[in-house]
Amino acid sequence: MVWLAAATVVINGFFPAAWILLTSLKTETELLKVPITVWPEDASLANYETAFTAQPILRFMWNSLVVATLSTVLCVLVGALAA
Amino acid sequence: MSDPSLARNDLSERTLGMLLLAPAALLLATIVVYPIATLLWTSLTSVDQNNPQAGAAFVGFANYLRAFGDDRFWHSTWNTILYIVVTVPGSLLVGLALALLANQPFRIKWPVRLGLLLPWALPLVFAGLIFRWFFEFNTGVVNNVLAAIGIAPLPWLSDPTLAHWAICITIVWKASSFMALMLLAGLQTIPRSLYEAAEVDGATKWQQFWAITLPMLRPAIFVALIFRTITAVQTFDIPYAMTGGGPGDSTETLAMYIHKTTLDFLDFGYGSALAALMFAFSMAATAGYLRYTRRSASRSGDD
Repeated sequence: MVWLAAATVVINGFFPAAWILLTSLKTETELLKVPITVWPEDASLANYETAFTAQPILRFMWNSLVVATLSTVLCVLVGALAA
Repeated sequence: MSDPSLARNDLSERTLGMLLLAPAALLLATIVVYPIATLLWTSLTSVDQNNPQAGAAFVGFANYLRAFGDDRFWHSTWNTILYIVVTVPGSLLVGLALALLANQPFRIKWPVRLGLLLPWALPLVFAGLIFRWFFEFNTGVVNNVLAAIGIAPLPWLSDPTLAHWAICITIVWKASSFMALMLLAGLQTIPRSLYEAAEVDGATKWQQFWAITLPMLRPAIFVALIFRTITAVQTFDIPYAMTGGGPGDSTETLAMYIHKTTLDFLDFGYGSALAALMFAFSMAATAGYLRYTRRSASRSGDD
């Protein structure tokens, strides 16, 4: 029973993310196959290569990091003073 | 008895308090009060960036009157209400179920905690894009599962009724995670002794749930409901990512219509009026909840 409870919560939470992870390893032709495949037939990291070469993704990540850090610091600072 | 040194101490403490509050007040003034004031002012003018030479003419309540006569405004408001009415109770029920499941005594806690947290940690647009992929006609998981059990594929995102369902399912999945986190925190404040006493009295699990868990959980449920309702009024990202308001504008929410009016049609005056109406709408929803909680709080105080 306890295992069933754990499995429900874990599957509900992880399924979409896990599916996207599997999808990211598939090729574009495999994505358009009907019926769909669960496990990538020809797993490759080509999509990740494109992600890093098609745009300055490291710059985007850095931007996110800066915004997240600064806003957190500011929130904590102002909030702590007010509280 | 007046002690001057005490009074001075009080005063300096107040000054210190004021000083400490100043950054927060300043921040609130610049990021809350000023934009809202600007919004309200703009809603009374006819700023139209399609015709910038015209400038900002004061038009009184013309923008609001236009909204009340605008079918698309009513349609998008109706969609927003539909999403509130379906997804707020929906995510509460699913969230409660998840919280109860996650509150079982597990030996290894982290996978369950992570599973509970993950939908909440995912950005709304990602959730929308992932579920759009799930609901895809040919290559979506949903239609493929339906095909496996012998049901014909459904046009989830191109049929207005089904698109509403697809969006509601996605919102419930996304929002139930937040609900579950809030309710789990509430569940863990319930003393074990209550359940032990109930067990001694021979209460079944079902009776314990209705007599102990639910009443003790009420404050947490209310806080979660208020937060959920406010975010539901602003529903934007998930329908935007899944259908873009389509097919046609059948799944468009009020927030999406505001976005379109201001940023696509560049009609800032009318967009501001719509935004002010949405603001009033979410205030009214919150005020309703707060009144209800205060009334029930005073009622339980009388007992």
